[in-house]
Amino acid sequence: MASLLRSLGKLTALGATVALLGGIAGASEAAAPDAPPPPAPAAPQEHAATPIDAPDQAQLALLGVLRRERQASDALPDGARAHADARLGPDVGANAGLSRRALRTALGEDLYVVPGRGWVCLASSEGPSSCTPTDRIEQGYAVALQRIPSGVRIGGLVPDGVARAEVRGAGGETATATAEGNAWRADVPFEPVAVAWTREGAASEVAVPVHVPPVAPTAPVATGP
Amino acid sequence: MDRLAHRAALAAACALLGVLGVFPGAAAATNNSYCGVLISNGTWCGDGTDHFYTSNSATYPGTGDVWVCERLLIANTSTQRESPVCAYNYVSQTFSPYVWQTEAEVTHYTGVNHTVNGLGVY
Repeated sequence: MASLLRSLGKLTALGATVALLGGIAGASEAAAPDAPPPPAPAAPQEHAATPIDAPDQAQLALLGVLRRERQASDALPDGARAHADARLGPDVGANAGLSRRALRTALGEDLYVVPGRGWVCLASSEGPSSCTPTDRIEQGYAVALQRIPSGVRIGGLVPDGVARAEVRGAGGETATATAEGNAWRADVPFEPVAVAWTREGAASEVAVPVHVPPVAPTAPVATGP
Repeated sequence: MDRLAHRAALAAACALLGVLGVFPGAAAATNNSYCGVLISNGTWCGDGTDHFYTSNSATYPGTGDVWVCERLLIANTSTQRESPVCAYNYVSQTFSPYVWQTEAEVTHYTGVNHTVNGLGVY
């Protein structure tokens, strides 16, 4: 009897797993019925990638912001557009014409998600852009930072199901940023050493180390666009 | 003599306008690939040339994930134009016109030695 119950338990667990996997696969297919399959990722150091025509299935399954209808406000501003066309296109096959605005910070900085050839970029209206292989986003590697006068500006991309990211400092400090449009941004007054987040339904958190370069003499006048 | 003074003034004005980037379309953008060699953790790598850079990028071309950074230095100084921007595997930044020439550099902060590619545009 005990053996029968164990077998039934295994079958139930197996059924639940199959149903869960089926649900995830179904959601992906529903999200991208006509999308192209994920291409081989571009090699940025070759500077010879062809920009994509449409987000691929993996990008659409991972990033809800790319599944919504594109609006006029999703267009990159001129400076960021020129940079995307000149650099992100040849480097990682990013197509600025497919951008989506993810969020606007309290300071008026806009962050845009720009899909590329096996890569996804997070482009800022203030100048910097970082790009990550699509399959590394779920592992937490879509994160970038820069030292600012008040501390460190840090942000990144997160997959669907991540509501907030936690920035951790060496001294035990923490700061939490709300994710919006698969992106997040935080200005923190301490030096971050890691970023962590947990995806809805996941058993464990994703955490990656980050490093702030040492302080060095820097021109006193703000020179960004 | 008046003609000579006029020419000198015109040349000075053109030089100033050029420095200020008033004629951005006067020359096509030039890509300057640099580094592309193994460097140790935290070692900045550049080609040491001075240009009016308008963008700079750092790329890790290998497998795995490496924390890379890019920056511009004011030419022939150790002063950064802005604080470095860092990310895993690929980071790029555009810069507005600047009064001084700059040097482009890249580095990484993961493990011991990695190849990092830099690309400055001027």
